[in-house]
Amino acid sequence: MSATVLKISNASRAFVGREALHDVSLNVAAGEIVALLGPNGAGKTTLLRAIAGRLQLDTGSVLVMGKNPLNDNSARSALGIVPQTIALYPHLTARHNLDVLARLSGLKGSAIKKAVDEALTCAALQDRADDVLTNLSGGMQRRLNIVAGTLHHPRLLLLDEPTVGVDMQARELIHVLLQDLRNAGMAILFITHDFDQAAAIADRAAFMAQGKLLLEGSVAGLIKDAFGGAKEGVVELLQAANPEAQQVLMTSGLSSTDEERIWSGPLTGNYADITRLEHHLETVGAHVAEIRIREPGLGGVFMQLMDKQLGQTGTAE
Amino acid sequence: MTGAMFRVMLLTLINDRGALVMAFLLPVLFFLVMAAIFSSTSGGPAQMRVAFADEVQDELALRLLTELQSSGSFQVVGDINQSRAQVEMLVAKGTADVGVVFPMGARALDDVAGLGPAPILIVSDPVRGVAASMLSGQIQKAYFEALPDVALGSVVAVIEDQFVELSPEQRSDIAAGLAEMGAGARMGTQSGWSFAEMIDRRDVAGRSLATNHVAYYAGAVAFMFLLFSCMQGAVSLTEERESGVLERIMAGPGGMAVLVNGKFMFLVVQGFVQMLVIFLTAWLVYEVNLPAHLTEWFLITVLACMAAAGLSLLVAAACHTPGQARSLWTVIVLIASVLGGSMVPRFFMPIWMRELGWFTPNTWVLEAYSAVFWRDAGLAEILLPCGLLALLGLLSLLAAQWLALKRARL
Repeated sequence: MSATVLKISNASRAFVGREALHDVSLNVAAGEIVALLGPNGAGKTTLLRAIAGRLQLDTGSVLVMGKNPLNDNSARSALGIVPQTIALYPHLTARHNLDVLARLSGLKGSAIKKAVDEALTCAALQDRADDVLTNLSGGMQRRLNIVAGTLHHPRLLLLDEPTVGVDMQARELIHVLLQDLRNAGMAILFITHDFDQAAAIADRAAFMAQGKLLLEGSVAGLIKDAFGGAKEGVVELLQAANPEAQQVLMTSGLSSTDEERIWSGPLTGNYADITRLEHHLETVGAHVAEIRIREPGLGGVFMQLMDKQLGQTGTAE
Repeated sequence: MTGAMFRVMLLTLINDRGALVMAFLLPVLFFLVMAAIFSSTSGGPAQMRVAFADEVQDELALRLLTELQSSGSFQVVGDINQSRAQVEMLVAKGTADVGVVFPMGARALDDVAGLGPAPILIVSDPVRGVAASMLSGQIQKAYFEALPDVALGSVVAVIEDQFVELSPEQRSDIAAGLAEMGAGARMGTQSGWSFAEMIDRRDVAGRSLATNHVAYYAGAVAFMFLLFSCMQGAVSLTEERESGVLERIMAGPGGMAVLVNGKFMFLVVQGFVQMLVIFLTAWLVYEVNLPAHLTEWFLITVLACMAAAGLSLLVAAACHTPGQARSLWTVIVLIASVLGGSMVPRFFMPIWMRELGWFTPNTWVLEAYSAVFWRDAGLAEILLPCGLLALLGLLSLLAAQWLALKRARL
């Protein structure tokens, strides 16, 4: 069992008229990647700020290496931060950016050059080290943004949507980079809206909504719990489902996604059942554009979770 | 770690040519323009443009005109034979600063106290009222110098009219003397006299009016640009908050103090170099005596840089966005520069505005520089403005640190 690097216990924080965090508890161990998932306004960034020591909790605690980052320098020194934006100096070269950030992380003397060289290698940017940041591609800037948070070899790396706005190739390189850091023993907690990305690189996933941690566990375990042995079916309609079609889809165990015309969920039965579903939908006036069957992912888990939440809210009301 | 932030600012400046030009070249160019203007205006009306119209065309008017034109005190616009209407049009259009007309139907130039319109008409634009006053003085001087016989004859006539009746012999002697004086003046062998001979002048401050003006504007321009360039650096505090760099640094062991102190240090050094470049230019080009006042200059300059750096960081810390910080700071700098004398010397201002100027650091800086470069003041005499600058610099730095931290923490 790896050592716990981050321990969040019953963390709560309210802003005026809004509860940003409600009784959140989560641990992250060394050598582990945890994906923090949830819709906008779920409280993910607020939680990251609390971990970074920029937010005083109303109740509960955040401990990094057993210390509170809000008032303990050693806890903050154990942290690496990778903000969603390219948090680098645009007029400086890649090397100069890393150099000054290494110094600001507390490194001194020859350790600075060593850390900078390592980071450039890690980001595969040795050849572009002396290019000004704005001359690097978006993917290169993202990679540099990530390694800039690891210069002082933090025990815990916090990333806020590390691959937003990059192409597939750059995204793959970033995944490899994060896995390398995890394999080197770093604990990694990252926010993402990309379920496929979370499933691809995270060991565990945590779902948040309305300031609460709704579900947390290993990626494989969460999928298995949600889908059992079933595949995930995705039904794409030409238009948003009418009430009758919604009833048909829900009876089949499917949930609506962000797009009202796309439904997904565990699909049991065989191809004949799928054909029947399609026929049934057509008879209630819903025209099917496409039905896909795929290996279930965290997106499906999230949809089920949201449905369950909505159901609970409806019951409570 | 404070050094690291200093390094960030330095590398950013070095890599940004536009910022380099703004910080070091533009202020010098601006200063040179101001210095060129004020070093040539040594108090006289040398560059005044004057239009003349001699409608009378008599000998006295010609003598006066010749004297006026030969003084070299102004540039003549147009022909002296032009009409009064033409002169009025030239002044109204701004082609001439002021006009002089010897109008037809007016009293003669030797009729000092008679009835009827004055023999000389000054045509002026109210906006350039000072030009009319200056020309009026020039005409009076020229009158006494070019027409001494006429001036003295007029005085004799007034004396005889109001005080004592002269005998025919006395009148004859005086007429002969005046005729001789007039002939001498016409030949150029005898110069006239003027009340200027009653006035002597001793300059007690500085080396010359021109040099004093240059010294004044060196400080005025340098401090104004120092304020502007400080904001370019200080606003990076807000930019770092937007870009997420602040989040990264805040999570490090140094925290906000490192960030603000590093920027403060850099801004002080950058400002010092900027002011040094301007004063070196003033010394090398305009002989402003920098070497003789090096200690005082160093103290004033460092404290001025501290005040500018602290204030700009405070404004940057108080604003939410870089745009907001730049706009607010521009307004502050412009108001402080106007009231504080960076644009127009304070002694040209109304008293209430001069008093208001004491609430700006520009005034403290310029008072200190003026004391040193105009009046050869020592350290003891600049303690008050220097103390105010030091206090402002330190207090605003502390306030900037506190505010920046408050903004960074939720």
